[in-house]
Amino acid sequence: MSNLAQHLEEDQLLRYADGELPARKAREAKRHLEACWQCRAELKESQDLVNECVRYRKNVLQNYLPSPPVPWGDIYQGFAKIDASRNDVSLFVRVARLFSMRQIATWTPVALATGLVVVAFLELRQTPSVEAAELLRKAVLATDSRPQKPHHIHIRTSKNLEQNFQARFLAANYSWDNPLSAKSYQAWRDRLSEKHDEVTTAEGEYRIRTTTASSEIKEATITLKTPDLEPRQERLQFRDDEWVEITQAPEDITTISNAVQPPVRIPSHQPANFTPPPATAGDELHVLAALHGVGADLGDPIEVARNGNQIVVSGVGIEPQRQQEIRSTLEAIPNVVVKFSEPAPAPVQPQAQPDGIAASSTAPEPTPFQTRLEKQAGGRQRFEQLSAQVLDMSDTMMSRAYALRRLTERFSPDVESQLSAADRKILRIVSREHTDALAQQEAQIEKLLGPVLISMGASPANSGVTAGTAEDLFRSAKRVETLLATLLGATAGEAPNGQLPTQVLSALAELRLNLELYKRLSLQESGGK
Amino acid sequence: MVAFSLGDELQGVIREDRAASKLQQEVAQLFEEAREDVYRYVLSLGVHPPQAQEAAQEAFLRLYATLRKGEKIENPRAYVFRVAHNLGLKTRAKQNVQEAFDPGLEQQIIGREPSPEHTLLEKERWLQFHRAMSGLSEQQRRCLDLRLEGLRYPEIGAILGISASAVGEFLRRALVRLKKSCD
Repeated sequence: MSNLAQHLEEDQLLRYADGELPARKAREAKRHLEACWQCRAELKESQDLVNECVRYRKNVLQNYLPSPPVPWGDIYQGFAKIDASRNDVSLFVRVARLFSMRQIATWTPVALATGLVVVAFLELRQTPSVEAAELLRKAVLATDSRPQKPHHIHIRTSKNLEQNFQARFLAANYSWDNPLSAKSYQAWRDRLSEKHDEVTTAEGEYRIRTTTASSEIKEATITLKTPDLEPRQERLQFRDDEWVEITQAPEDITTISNAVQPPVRIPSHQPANFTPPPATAGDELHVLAALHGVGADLGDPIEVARNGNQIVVSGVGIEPQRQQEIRSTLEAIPNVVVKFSEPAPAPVQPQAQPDGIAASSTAPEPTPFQTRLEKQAGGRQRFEQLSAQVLDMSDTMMSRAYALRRLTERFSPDVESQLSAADRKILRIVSREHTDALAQQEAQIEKLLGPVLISMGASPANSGVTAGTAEDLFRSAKRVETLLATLLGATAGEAPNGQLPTQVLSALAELRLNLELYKRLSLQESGGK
Repeated sequence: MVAFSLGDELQGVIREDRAASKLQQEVAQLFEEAREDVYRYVLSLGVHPPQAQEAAQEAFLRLYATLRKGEKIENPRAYVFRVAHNLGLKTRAKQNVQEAFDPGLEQQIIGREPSPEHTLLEKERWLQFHRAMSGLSEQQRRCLDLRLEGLRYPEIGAILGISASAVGEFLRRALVRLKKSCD
């Protein structure tokens, strides 16, 4: 709960504005700022000063500092020197070397194969500069410049995906609004943290193939017609090898009736027109999965509820940009109502410090325990760095723990049993992503803090018996968070004692154990899939 | 069989070549966008313009060399500033017989003729702000300069060898000082 009497300090305001506060503290600061005009005025004043610095950079530094004395050199020459110093040789020489290593007896088949590969290579080399991003950008521009007219698409899927491929799109963060479009492909591709593209040309078309390990879609291919770059075909392959193939259908839809799967016909510029069923747990799950796709299940004040045949998503005090992001994520899902509102003004309370921020407190004297901890961490500066890192990780870890708990509360075993097989799979995917992230945070905290705590004589005690339920998992994560806050001095008024290092290590070990048990249980429940 | 294995090797060579060319394009693009900023930052360390330009260009080449080795760099812009900072300080150490470069900004602001776009009032304002900036400590000024270049606290800390929280503190003090000087 925000306390108006406790104003934000200058450094907190600046770190908040710079996005450098840990997530939870940032949320607290945001709440306080919404309620407190005084701090908001201070923040505005800081921001004005920052603006002045930016103008100084532009008007004074960029204008009056001398320009570079000579024109900038050709950076590509520098690249070539670096490549040469790495003992790289030209592509031609490397290819030639490949051949010289072969025996003469194999020369003929080699030459034939090489001929084919070189032809293919030359084909590829015709478009070396056509990078995937650039090509998609041009395709989006080309689409925008064309008059919009409805056209039809033809969808084929692998057998297991027939019923629920729309939900799979949402879970993979791939827009269902207009699946066969350069824009949707581009939006999906741009969100990937890791990807590999291949661009090839064939007769009358470009083909972009993107593979990634950071999406539920592991491989996507889009074919663009030349010269207008209109999407002709797209194939998306999910991580479990299920696939969807979308093709532009001829205007006369009856000509495609001989498809392997029954063709689905939807206008490609409108959301898929499925008959809206009454809202079910599955519908709710689709919304939650879509929110999960943009990280909106990790601390944003958003509620999801079923109301008749609608799913109502409501949020309070969400930034306008974030609101837009959430709206565009959800707009493809039928029967979803999104409501954002501003928080009610907090009652004005008497200000404890009329001078507000100027009353900056001096740091309390460190206790002998803290001094020892700082020493073991490698000095005060290093400790502060470590402390900030660990508290940040603890925050991220808890946002996952809360999200996982909400998910398991909402989809109890009874509710889960009503879901279709595909929806259960989505639920498992979301749940697995939370547990994996939680485990990662736990491991990182242990890696960072473990050596310091052990050097202080800590040894993890055996943890008690645990069932490895979601609630156990949450409880142990919460315990880790509380102990870390005490250890690192983030909780005022609680003096750490000599047992604390051991308690922290034990709590981390217990959390790790719970994570393993929870994962094992989930795997058993899903039949090992 | 031989033909297939040769095909694989050839494809590998082609793939590597394409990867290098993509990397070159990316670094070249960053070079185009950020070289003037890096150059000005090195000037602010007191390095003379020819050496500052050299250091700025070298920083981008080191970025390329590092990426070429397969190392992962989270924020290439921050990396370039870090290398440029170190190169700038080394150059400064070498040129210690010379005086640190002083661009004489104050004289330039004073010497500027007022015009419809640049009024006398504005000139006075910039002169006052420039004097306030000159009054900052070296660390405060560097933190501020790097923050103005869009670097985050941990990145600035890595460049200056201080913690992220220390960066926050230097920035806070810098703003307090600027505010006092400008009031």
